[in-house]
Amino acid sequence: MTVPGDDAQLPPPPSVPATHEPDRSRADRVLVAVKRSRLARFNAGIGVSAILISLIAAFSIARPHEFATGFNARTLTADASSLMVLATGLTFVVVSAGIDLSIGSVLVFASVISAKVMVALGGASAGWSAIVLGLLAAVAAGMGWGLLNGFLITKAKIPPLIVTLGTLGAALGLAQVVSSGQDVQVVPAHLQSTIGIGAAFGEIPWLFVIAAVLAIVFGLILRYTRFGRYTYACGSSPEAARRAGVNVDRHLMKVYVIQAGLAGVAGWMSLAQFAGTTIAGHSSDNLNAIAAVVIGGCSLFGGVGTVAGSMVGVFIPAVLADGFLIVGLQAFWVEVAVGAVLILAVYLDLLRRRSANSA
Amino acid sequence: MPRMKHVLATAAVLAAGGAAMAATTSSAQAPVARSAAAKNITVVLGVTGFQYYVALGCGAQAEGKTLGANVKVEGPSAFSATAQIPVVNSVTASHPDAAIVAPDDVKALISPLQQMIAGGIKLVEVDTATTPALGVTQVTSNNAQAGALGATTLAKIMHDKGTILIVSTAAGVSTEDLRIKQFLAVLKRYPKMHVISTQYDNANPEMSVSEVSGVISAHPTLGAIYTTNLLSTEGVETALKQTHDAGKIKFVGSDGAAAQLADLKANVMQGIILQMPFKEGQLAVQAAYDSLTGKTVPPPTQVGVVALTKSNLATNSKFIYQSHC
Repeated sequence: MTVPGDDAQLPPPPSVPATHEPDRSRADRVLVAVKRSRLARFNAGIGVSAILISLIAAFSIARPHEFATGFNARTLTADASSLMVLATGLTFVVVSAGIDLSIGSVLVFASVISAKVMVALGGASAGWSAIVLGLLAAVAAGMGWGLLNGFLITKAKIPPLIVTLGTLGAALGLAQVVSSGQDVQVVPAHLQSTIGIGAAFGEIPWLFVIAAVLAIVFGLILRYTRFGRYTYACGSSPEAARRAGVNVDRHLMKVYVIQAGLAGVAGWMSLAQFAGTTIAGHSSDNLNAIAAVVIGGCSLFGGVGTVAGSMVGVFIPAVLADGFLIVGLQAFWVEVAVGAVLILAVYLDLLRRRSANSA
Repeated sequence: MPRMKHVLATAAVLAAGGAAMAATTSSAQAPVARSAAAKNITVVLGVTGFQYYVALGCGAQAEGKTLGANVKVEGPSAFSATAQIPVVNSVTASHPDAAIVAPDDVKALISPLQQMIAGGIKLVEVDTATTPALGVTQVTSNNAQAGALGATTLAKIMHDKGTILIVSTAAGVSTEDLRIKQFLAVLKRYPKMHVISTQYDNANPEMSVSEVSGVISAHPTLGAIYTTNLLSTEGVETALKQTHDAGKIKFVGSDGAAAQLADLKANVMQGIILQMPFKEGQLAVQAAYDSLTGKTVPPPTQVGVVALTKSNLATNSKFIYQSHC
């Protein structure tokens, strides 16, 4: 029995132009539809990439000495790294037709736990073993919330929107309980000086290196492994996936745990970047991450999306905000522009769906 | 393929629009940027849309006009380091001659501001200073004096006796903690006055409404309320009007704009402790300009506060913060 999307078992598609031919046999039509929808997914990715490249080109032409500089590239990528990690995890969740509003709060909770662990293990003078333990604590703290989210969604059958709305408040509240409402402002000096503000080869911020590696690894997992295929299957049609033999509940649980674990990593990264927790500073992370994955081509109905697209979606608002300030346009217009790009991206997704369904 | 054409057309339009924007804005900016005399100074506020910072920006721009400098005002849309740091980095990338920054976090902003200084930009910290202080000088509010003045003003209004509720933003906001600390220190001089509770509303006026109503219900003999910031003040004003305790429970708030002045005249508030953000903005631009023109930069300055009450409306109501320049 074939799983939807398991194209390894289908014969290679015929090399005919994808135009409507009424005399085609049914099997051929299905194959053409599969090829067309894969190409369409590719096209949607090209669309937003073209938008991002045009924006970068436009701002570089306008301000070559301010925008198109190494400094600007370094700070832009470093500042976007946390959102990159969040969007990587959220891609898996959205592709599986879920949603997670709690990512900002889980990030804060993980950063508080990680900071407390590192303070207990030496504080500002702690060594790398303490820093690694802090990372593990952050990931574990995040995964704890992922397990809770996953359990409530799959076993208690509560919709993801409601569950994660609840954990949004609960995680932030618990973080404030643990920290008594005060930011923990002591982190190991090595963490901040190397990961937080340091750069690989003196040029590429370590924060961006970490985020890029995670994006590449998880992007490959989503695209080329069975785990990724099952994620698309659960998002396209959980019932079909279940009948094909996929343990949908267990798979969704894993997806939410992975995503929350990545939020934990982002929490640890934010400790490095800001030299402490920033409890009040992540309340709009969830909407920013959702906007990023939607701009990047994920469909909120599930079954469509790539990590690469989500990364483009992360950078479009960041480049807009940076470019607008450098060029001298009023910052408030950035929100308008991001809204327009978001609607455009969803519209392109709608066109793609319509044409895929008309095969 | 129709979709591909559609997408490419969109991208082409965007690129064309970008080039047009580039042509118009760069040509508009070019003459100013090339002129050697006009200095470019960018102000980074703590958060946009907040009257204290609006007044600070207005003061900066007014001083800029007097000195003949180009003063641009930027700021994050939320009061947090995570929102402010990308703005600071973009300002650094845009290479003004000097920058005036009101840091949202006294630790997290250190490394971006050090990068700004390393980029050759003269930095003046305003409103609060990072720990340790950075830049050529700092122009800050005297938060200790603000707390002390709050206590003495309240004592006069309460005739030296009664119970007090303090409402603040969050434990750990350095400016407000300093005000509370000095408020409590000065309050020791009045043995018949004491604080029964300190509530934190996380910069959410709705939260302060519910907290204040709760405390009033629990302590019907509450004498007065003191707030450390404008958002908490707004919440308490609403709470007092809702419970019909305005005037009965005395209220001294920190920071005030037009709405607070109206409430002072209506006896909902009996005292407003006002900083002088307009003056801070002026002094900061003055100091930045001095550092750019080779004059000696003034040492770190603490700008004072004034208490506005019904009795000194004539002289002190001009210190109320404006909502736009």
